[in-house]
Amino acid sequence: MRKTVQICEAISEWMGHIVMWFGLALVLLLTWEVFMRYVLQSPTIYSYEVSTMLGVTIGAGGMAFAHKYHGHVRVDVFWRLLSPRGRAISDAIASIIFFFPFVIIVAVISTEWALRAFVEGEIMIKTYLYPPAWPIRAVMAMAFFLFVPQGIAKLIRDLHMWIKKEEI
Amino acid sequence: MIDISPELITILMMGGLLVTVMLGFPLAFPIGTVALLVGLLAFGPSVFHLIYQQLFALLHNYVLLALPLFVFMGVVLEYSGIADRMYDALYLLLSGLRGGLAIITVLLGTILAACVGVITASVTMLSALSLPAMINRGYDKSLAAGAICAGGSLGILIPPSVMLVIYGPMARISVGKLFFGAMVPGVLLATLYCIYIAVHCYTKPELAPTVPVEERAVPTRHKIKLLFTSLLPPIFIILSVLGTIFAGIAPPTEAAAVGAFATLVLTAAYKRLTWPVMRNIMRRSLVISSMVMFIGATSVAFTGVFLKAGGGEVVQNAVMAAPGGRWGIFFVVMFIYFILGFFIEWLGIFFIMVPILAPLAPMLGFDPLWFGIMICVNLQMSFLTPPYAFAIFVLRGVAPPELGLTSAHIIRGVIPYIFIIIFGLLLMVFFPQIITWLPSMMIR
Repeated sequence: MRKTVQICEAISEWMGHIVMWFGLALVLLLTWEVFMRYVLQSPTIYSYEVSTMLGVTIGAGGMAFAHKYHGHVRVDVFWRLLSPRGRAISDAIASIIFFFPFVIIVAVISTEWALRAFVEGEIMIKTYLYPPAWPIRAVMAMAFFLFVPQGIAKLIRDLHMWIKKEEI
Repeated sequence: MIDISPELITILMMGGLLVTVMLGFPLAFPIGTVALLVGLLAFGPSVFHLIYQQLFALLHNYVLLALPLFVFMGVVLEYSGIADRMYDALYLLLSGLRGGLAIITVLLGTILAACVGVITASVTMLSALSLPAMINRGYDKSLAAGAICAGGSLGILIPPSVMLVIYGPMARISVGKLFFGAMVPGVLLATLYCIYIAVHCYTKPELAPTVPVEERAVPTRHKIKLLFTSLLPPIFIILSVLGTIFAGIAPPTEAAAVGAFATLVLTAAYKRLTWPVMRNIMRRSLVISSMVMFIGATSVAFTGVFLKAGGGEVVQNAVMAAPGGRWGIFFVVMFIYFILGFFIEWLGIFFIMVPILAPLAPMLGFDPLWFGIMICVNLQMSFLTPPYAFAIFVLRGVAPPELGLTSAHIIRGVIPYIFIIIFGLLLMVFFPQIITWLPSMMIR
């Protein structure tokens, strides 16, 4: 059990440590774009597409990491009144109802869209760059798939608290 | 797939949302799950694609990229010691005033908390910076707590604010115009807060002992140096971000990127840009950005299903049936936001309710910009109003126990600010120019 938790959380941790630098990349890319446009008078053609791709990567790729560090906000009006064990019980049940079905379904649908984008050669049409759509759709699919292990780790922790009455 | 009426969908989705969200599981999941289940009931498996497209559209949105960028900028200001430097500078400059420390708190909230835009973060930051200082100097606990809660909530509104970055795309209004619409109301409220503190402390000097003279006896030359090295640079960065947007030079997303870059350069100039600091900044901004974007994504999936099933019209018709003409309806809308603001971090409210309720503004003949800012100001009040006030919960959670701050202190402290906000809202109803004047001066 302990091993499973460690492996699952390592995935989130590892992913977070990669994705967090995409935030810096976004800052630098758009600063560069502004510099190119206003100082050198030659705007880039790629900045719009690349920056929105970075946005998807940050938003979706950071979900598991945020979950590991309890970053997703809750409505804790009642939840905060519970004991640590009560919170674990409530979270364990809630994660089976709300976490797994939603995340897994979205992961599967995202994969379907990514595969179709790849097979049909779908392109992004907002700019004249016309980049292929599949890579960013694949990133989203992967992010949702890699979100599942974090849910498992959290569930095991909560179940441990529920049954053994102690932190794992 | 069953044929169910839009009315039933409305009840199922809104009721289901309120009930499931109250269980205290992270907000984004029940929102997404309710959308999935009710959507499946109403449209069958084709709803999966609708939900996917909504999720993807939110994550892949250029205007909303301003969000991770402003969050990044705010986190840099907070983690790099820039906030502490500003506090120290203001301390030396203003602590001679009666109630000076409380005024500093409101000012810092106004300047700094702006970027991060999450109420938990801004109240936490202000309380870490100024709560121990105020209480150890013998300030009244209610006075100290009130200034922190009010300043932290106000920071959410004042541009560059994440709240407005989200309101814009959700209501289809320009984020730049919203920024400048919020400017005068924000500064007005901040000024009213400071006047209230000053008058309150002048009439009851025992509430706020002045800092002993020897502690602030530094040469004027040193004070001026502090002003130019610690206080003005971050203010200059924030103002140039706003100026760029105002002059129509760059859209908010690009201005945010340049602002974030400039704060990073400033940190380097202060010799604080070390590897551990950098990693903390990246880590913290990833957690906040991803959290906000995930709630946003599941919420627009929810709204997508809800509007497609005709729930939007049901809600709009129900609100439109309110007595008292357009002002009656306006009051009902405000009340809905106010009550929701009790329970739910404003993020969830904005992504879900704004697309549903914002179309009412032009239907009723209100300026959509004015309508939006009124809602944002109104939410400030919701964060502060007991019994369920977000800012109060947060402050109680983060205040060090040895300071002996109780809920009663905090509640007594925030009540005057609630009246100030009501006063501000009334002013904006009678003089809508407070909101609309500055955006009308914008280029473009």
